[in-house]
Amino acid sequence: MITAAEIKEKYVRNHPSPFCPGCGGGMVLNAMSRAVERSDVEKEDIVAVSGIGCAAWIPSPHWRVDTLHTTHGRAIPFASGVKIANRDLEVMVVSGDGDCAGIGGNHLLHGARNNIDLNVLMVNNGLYAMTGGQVAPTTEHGERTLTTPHGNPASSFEVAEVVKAAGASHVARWTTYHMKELIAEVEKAMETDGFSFIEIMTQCPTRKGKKQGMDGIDMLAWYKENTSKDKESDKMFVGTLCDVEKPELVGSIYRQIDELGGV
Amino acid sequence: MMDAGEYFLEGNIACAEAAMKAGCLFYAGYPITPASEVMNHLSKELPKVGGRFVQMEDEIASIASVIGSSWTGLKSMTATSGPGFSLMQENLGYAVMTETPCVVVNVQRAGPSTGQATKPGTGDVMQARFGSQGDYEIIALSPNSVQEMFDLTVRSFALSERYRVPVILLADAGVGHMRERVKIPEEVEIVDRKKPSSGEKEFFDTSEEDHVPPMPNFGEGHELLVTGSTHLGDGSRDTASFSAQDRLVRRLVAKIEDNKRDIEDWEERDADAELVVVSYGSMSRPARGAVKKAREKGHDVGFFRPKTMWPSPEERLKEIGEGSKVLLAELSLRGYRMEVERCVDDLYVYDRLNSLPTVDEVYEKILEVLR
Amino acid sequence: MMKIRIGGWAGQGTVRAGTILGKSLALEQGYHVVQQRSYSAAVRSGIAYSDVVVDHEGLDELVIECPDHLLVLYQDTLDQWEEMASKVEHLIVDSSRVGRVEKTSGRVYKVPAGRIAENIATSKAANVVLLGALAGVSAEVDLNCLEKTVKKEFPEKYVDINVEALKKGYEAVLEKR
Repeated sequence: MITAAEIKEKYVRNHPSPFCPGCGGGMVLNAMSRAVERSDVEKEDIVAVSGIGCAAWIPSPHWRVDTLHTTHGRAIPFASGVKIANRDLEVMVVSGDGDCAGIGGNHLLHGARNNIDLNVLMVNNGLYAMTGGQVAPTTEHGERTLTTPHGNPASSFEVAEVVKAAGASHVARWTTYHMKELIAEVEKAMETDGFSFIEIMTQCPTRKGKKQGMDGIDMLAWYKENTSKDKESDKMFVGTLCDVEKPELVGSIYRQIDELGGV
Repeated sequence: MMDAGEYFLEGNIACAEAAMKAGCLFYAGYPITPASEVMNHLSKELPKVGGRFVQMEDEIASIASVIGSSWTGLKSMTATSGPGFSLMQENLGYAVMTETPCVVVNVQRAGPSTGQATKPGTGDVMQARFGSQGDYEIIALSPNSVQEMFDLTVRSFALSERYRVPVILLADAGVGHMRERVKIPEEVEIVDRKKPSSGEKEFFDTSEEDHVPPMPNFGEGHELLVTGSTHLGDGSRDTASFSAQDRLVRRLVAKIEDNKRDIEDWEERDADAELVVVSYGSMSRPARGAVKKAREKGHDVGFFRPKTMWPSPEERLKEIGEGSKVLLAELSLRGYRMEVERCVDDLYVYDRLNSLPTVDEVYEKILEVLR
Repeated sequence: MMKIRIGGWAGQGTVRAGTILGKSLALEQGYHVVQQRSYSAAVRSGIAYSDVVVDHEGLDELVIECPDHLLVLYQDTLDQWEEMASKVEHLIVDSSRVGRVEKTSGRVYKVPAGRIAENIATSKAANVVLLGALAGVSAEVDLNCLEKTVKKEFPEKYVDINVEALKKGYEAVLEKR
């Protein structure tokens, strides 16, 4: 068994990180690293693509792999270019909920529709944390944030359900409380030949916890109490939403190249 | 891909063929008039030479995937027109900041906004130079014939690889949709980006005279840090210090500025004449014809056509402006005008919208200025 | 210099005809040629036309103010070009679609191109019938070269139809000359 210190040495750079005390960002980094360690994938073959926001800083500059830190919302199309250009690379996208489902929402839909072989980790803290805690597409109706001081007049959407409906092969939801399951799910995502999407509910003690009188540990406990692996439960479902085989974009492109005699 | 030989091609097709000839192996795009023919043609032909073609959900995604592809080592391209070019601006700046070679073709149409999709215009000249936020320099080339749609596409790839910079082929619907005889040569000049030697770790700074650092690919074990944030030579982010911002941005600008002699290119005839007509793109054809006619009629008129719009041939323009009157002929009201205005004292303008003039129409304007 | 305009309504193949003509003149006959197309954003609406300019090397006249030869496939198009049409040297119209021709200083050839094409296979080949007619009218446009180009330009199953269309168009004006 590899120790925590060895994981850190092998996969993490630029620490201490700028993440706030109690932030879930480091936990996601840990889960990604351990998943790669358990998998057959070589670290040199991984490209981690991120956009803008706190979650984008999880891989860049902290993950010790090739990283591409891009513009706000566009991580998925940048990652698509990498994967289509070189299918031997294992391409990970780490994106916040605002980055992924807000400004980048259309790219998320089309990534899922194309079922392109990317592994997308949407780190969902329910608001725009880096810029001060503004309302996001994932913020609950009625919730108070920096820009919904009177309660959120809009509604949130179930991003994982949307991605599933859009055509992704593999969709799951976990929280930072469920570390073991999360590691296994990331590993599963890398094995999947298609679009893999994992929504990771992640605590933001600074922008969200403070407003609700909770610290990071309280928020993890909240995830424990308020989630269920039972789809029939009233609590938030955690687990695999779908895992199906479907035509995948990059393989289809390369098959056409082969058929047309391209080298 | 077409064999070497003579063809009668549309400008956009010549551009697509040139891309393949130059070694382009990745194209991502989104349909838009009057640029779609580039994409239509490559969707059919690029896979046959082993290239990857993908139609993306919009122009933002198109240029994003082009940049992603370039970091795997492939020569990569997209083509669009005004509305799509506007959407690409943020990621164009990202390509400048991350020093990612790529080619962006803008077959300009009449704007602003949706304007007239099938009609030529050159109103994006300033946007090509200044469209993305922050300080930067960029390369933009202007073809005026189908042959140049071919030749300057090849050169766009060469310059982008040489200087690790996005290069804009600033065409217009006039040349994009024009058909002419074009000669496809056996070989074209292919330039490949500078690769790092083993052990090298600085991919975003250099003390070399050309200011161009070497560029590795993803998957080579460099644990690369590629970011649009201000960064140090090893790619690590520095979001606050004076020295990082100052050193990086000054080098990005110097990379173009100090290599200007190698980049700039123009056509000129009798540029010491009493009046010099300055024109570019499809408009430069009737403008050149009018100059020829004026000379045949005994008038002292010359011709100057920048093929490199950016960096602009400002020194040559200033020399011309010192001794001659200048008539700028362009297919827009504000296209290149501010740039020429700042170089030339005695400036006259023939601006035109929607369609090209006849040779005689420009000739009449020349006579008017001479009078 | 020779200037030819082929005009009609969007969807009638005016751009295709211009391309065939341009290709033939440039590649088979060795002239310096520029071909331009003009159309609106709508796929099946509005005037569409193709201009072919033949000149010496360094061809810089890209625009046709008044063509020497004007080929028209649609009545509305001709009506809108009434003034220009009155000045051309040769006006060749598809008389199965263009019934009304105002007075012109040049010579008018009324070729029932649509009907001729329909008798061969499909009225869609009317554009090529008019190209054949142009070869009959203009000494510079060579019928054999057009035929060679048509053979290269069309998929095999349409070649015979279009070669026939060219010849019938050519014969139609010869009878009138």
